[in-house]
Amino acid sequence: MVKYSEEALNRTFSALANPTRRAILARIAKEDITVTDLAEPFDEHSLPAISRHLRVLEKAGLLVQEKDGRIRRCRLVAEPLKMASDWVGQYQQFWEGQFDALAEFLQETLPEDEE
Amino acid sequence: MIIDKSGTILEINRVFPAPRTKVFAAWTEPEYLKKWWAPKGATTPLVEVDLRVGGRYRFGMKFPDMETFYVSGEYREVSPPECIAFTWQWEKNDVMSVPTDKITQVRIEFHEKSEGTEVILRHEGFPDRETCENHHQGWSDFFEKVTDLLQ
Repeated sequence: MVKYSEEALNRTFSALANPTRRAILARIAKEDITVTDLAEPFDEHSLPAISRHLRVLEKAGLLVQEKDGRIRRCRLVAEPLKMASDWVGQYQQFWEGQFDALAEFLQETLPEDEE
Repeated sequence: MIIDKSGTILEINRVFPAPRTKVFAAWTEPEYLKKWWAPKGATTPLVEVDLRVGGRYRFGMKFPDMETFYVSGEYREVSPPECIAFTWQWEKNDVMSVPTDKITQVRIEFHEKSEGTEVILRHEGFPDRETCENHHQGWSDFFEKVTDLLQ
């Protein structure tokens, strides 16, 4: 069993809790992209605003920015996303198990309690 | 993984062929919880429930030859028989292989259906409530787009 860092998971969830940042990641997931190209579809967002989001994502370890001369390129780091999806997956399994147990309990106790 | 449009991270639902008051009682009354809460092969040596907003609960889960694991939290919403919400925290971090010792939020809704009672459970893995309420756009599109990377 792999143990993930608590703090890292918190950072990942916090970083993902913003629609613009999720949109940025979804875009970067397709291909590495320059910051300018990245900012382009977000017309309501200025380049500095996008840069701020990128810093949050970078801090959470979700992307890296690479300098190529004057151009900055963004690349996705998938591992923290995997960790977040594992968290969800494990709890899904846990709660499905609880639902199974509840179903069994209700089935067993219902006839005697039903009026 | 099911992630709903409202931006909740985990949502599961199921219809139980039982009246709503009964299903609600199963989640909130200690003598019922003792009978079903523990997974197969485990027992529930402790169930404490103070069912009111601000009240706390604590459940123990004991597997053979293992110590008892406790989960506890505070009720945030108590509306019988429609809904309960509570914080969720394992008291030890080795119940699952992913981090479990932070405080997360669980909300359970009970809906009357012709076939019985639909239970909708949402578990939000965010560090705090503010963060949970802060996102409006769904996660589903997002995870769909990056899904290849999650394999």
